[in-house]
Amino acid sequence: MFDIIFYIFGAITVGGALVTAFARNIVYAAFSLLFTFFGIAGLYIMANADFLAVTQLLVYVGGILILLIFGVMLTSRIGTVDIRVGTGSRWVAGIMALGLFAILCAAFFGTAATHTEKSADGKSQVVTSWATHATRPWSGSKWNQDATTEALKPKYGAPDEVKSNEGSSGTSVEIGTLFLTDYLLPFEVISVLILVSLLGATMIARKEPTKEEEAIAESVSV
Amino acid sequence: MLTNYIPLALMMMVAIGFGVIMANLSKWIGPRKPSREKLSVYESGMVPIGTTHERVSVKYYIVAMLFIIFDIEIVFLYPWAVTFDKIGAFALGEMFLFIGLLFIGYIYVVKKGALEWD
Amino acid sequence: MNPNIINPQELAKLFAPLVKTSMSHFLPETILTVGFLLAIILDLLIKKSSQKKLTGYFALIVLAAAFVTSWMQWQPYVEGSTTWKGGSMIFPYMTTLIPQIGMAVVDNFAVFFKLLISLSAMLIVLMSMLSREVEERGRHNGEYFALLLALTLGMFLMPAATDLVMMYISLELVSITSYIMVGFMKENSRSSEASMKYVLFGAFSSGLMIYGFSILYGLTGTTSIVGIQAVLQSGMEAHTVNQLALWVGVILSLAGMGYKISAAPFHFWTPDVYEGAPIPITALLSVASKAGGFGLLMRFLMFGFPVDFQTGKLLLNWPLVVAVLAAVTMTLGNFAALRQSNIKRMLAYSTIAHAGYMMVGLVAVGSGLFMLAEVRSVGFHKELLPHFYEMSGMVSVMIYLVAYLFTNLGAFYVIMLIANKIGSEEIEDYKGFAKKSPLLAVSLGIFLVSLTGIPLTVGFIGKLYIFSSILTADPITHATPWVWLAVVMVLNSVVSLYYYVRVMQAMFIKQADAQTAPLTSALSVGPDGTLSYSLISKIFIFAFLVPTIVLGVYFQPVVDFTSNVVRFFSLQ
Repeated sequence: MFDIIFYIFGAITVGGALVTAFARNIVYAAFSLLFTFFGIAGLYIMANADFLAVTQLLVYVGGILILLIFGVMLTSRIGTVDIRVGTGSRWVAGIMALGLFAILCAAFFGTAATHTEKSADGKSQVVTSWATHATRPWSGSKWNQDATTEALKPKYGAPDEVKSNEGSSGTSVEIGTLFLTDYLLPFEVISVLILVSLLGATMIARKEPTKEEEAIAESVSV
Repeated sequence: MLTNYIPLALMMMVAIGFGVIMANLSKWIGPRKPSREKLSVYESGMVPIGTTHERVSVKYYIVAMLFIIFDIEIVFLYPWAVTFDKIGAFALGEMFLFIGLLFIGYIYVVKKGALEWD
Repeated sequence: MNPNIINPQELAKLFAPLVKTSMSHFLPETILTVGFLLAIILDLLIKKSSQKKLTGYFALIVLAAAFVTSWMQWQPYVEGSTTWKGGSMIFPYMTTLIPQIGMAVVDNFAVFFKLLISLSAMLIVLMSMLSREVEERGRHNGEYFALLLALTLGMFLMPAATDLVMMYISLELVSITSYIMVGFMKENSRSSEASMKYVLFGAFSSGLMIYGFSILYGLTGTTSIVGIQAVLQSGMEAHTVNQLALWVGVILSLAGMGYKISAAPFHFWTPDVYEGAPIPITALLSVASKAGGFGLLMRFLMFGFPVDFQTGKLLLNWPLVVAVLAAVTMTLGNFAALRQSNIKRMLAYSTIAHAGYMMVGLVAVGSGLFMLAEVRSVGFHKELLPHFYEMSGMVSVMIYLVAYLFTNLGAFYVIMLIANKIGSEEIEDYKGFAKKSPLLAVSLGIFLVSLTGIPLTVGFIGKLYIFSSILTADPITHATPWVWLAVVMVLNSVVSLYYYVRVMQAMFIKQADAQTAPLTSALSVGPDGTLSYSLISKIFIFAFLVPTIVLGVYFQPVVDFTSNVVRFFSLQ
């Protein structure tokens, strides 16, 4: 059942992307992007990344895509423009894309290889990733054996237990906690970044008043 | 885990089904006798002039862009809201800083008249 | 609800001191952020376009404050000191309470770049105030200088970042601000085109980079580069590293950083953007933004990927990849520069070539790592230490960046002054310029000579150190693996001489044609055919000219200064 849903979402994503890439009409391309975004949101949910799925819907489907589709539909005669740019090197591009795909496949299938390794207490166990640690910054990594953490364990619980909230509150809690603690600096820098883009959008996209209008505005304000 | 999403999936199916059925119901069950007059565009009894596509002012795009920027801000409010009770005043201060910076941006946008339509 | 989440009061008590100490080390950046906000408010308060320049003076004060506070973070190494730490991590991982890993670090390396970047930003502010292009858009000068502060903040964070997330955010802050700055003259279609191209290329390469980062995170389970190194180190010892996946991750990550330093396959945006942007912004992109990119790249490669202390080998042979890219970058840049008729475009290709030279220094950084590994495997001998400093390309890259700062900013400044008057950037229009303004012509000549790397200029010192770092034989194995790269670099320098000389030939030897007369607009020409410049703009040339010549002769302070930075890495 899980697999079937996964493949359905996968097909929606890839199908939408293919139509976007190959459609002659830009309106179709824009609309099929909706399916791609939607399919990706589904895939995020399948990967237990519910926060990402919500973000995907909120920002991409709810914001960017609407802007895009309105932009396309409101632009006069855009539907008749053939958006495909003629190039003689389509075969080269295709071969390069396939090559990249092959490399990525090889890389990812390589990482899934299992191997045995010895854990701290001497028992050997099978690990399904080359990296010897779970995929969580605070779980079982080398520096976790640091004295500080060890010392704090009885008081604040073992770091591993933090991830034991599966199924209850989703990833939003974890992401929120990380944003407000470990990743505090990027979090605050992001607000500077958003502020910069606000300034930029206003400065670049706003219609400039003419010289006369400006003069009037200045004389009024003084 | 995924069972949490079953209501969501059902809701979605109902929504899509409702939309598709309602939009096509009259087409399916109504009688169809097309004629030249019926197929022509109706515009208050006038013969239509020009195309339906018109140039849209750049104002539309700036409002849309500002919408997306604030949309992204909201994305950061979500995880904050669900962890707020655990981290407490510390989280409140951080969010004040975050929102405070953007508030200056908001003042800027309003002052520069980017939200005025004319 | 999570059962083991601690109660809020306790948590806040835990975090407060961490944030407090972090903030005390974060003063320059805080000043820049507050300055940015105040500049926006200042812009809103000033109604008249003609007074918007006041924001520029304000930005200058803020940048000076950032420079001074960065200077105070400098920790000179005292021989035999036991308390000297070399640097401190700021904003560490709070949930794990491990002070060694975190978002950013304040060490001499970061401080060096902060000083370099804030100095060039100050020069750029002064340059912008004298620029006609910026003045013509007087109404937006408030935003211009405010954004310049945000850009500086981003560039401050780039070399300091030690976490993939922080690296990405700082890079994006720099990129997005640069897109806006490049499109600053939006009435000018070339400027808008440049901005558009910059956005498209930038979005693509930062997409590649974040993909690479995600692979690195997936492989190691941590976003901290210190953590990545620790995990890879243990993975290397257990021979469990998936080399292919790691390579994919690293090369994709290099795409984003290579784009910032305009290294060869990611350089396509450079000529168009440099040509379309206002000249001060072009100068800033070519110096400060590149310096930040190199800082980020060096930290990523040095810290992120471990050395096998048993065999002295790197886990990934990244120096080879960087060497090939460096050779391609400088060759491409130099040969494309030969055909340019617009001097801004020519200098754009020349900055690509210079990025290539600096990447040669990066290769030597890799050799330094080999060396470090060998030092550790054979035991630490004090007499080997000087060799290590020599070999470490880091010193050479930093010296080169200092040289490049004054030379390239100077060259762009003179071009700006010329464009202010004659409204053209075509080399063709520079004919007979030496007669119109001897001072400008001579100083531009000196800057170009320095860019070529001819002795008695600072550009020579930069190249010299790069050469010596790449050619110094390993004191243990006596191998010099990078001779071919040095040869490529020499040949490239010869090629570059040709196009630099072409500008000088136009200025000094050729006569102005009668047809090119319209470019000298009537108001700026003196009675004897000379161009008149204000005293300030003339004096300001010496801010670039004096360091270019003085540091070319008396360069020991720069070398001492940069060597101090490297000690931190070797003593770690």
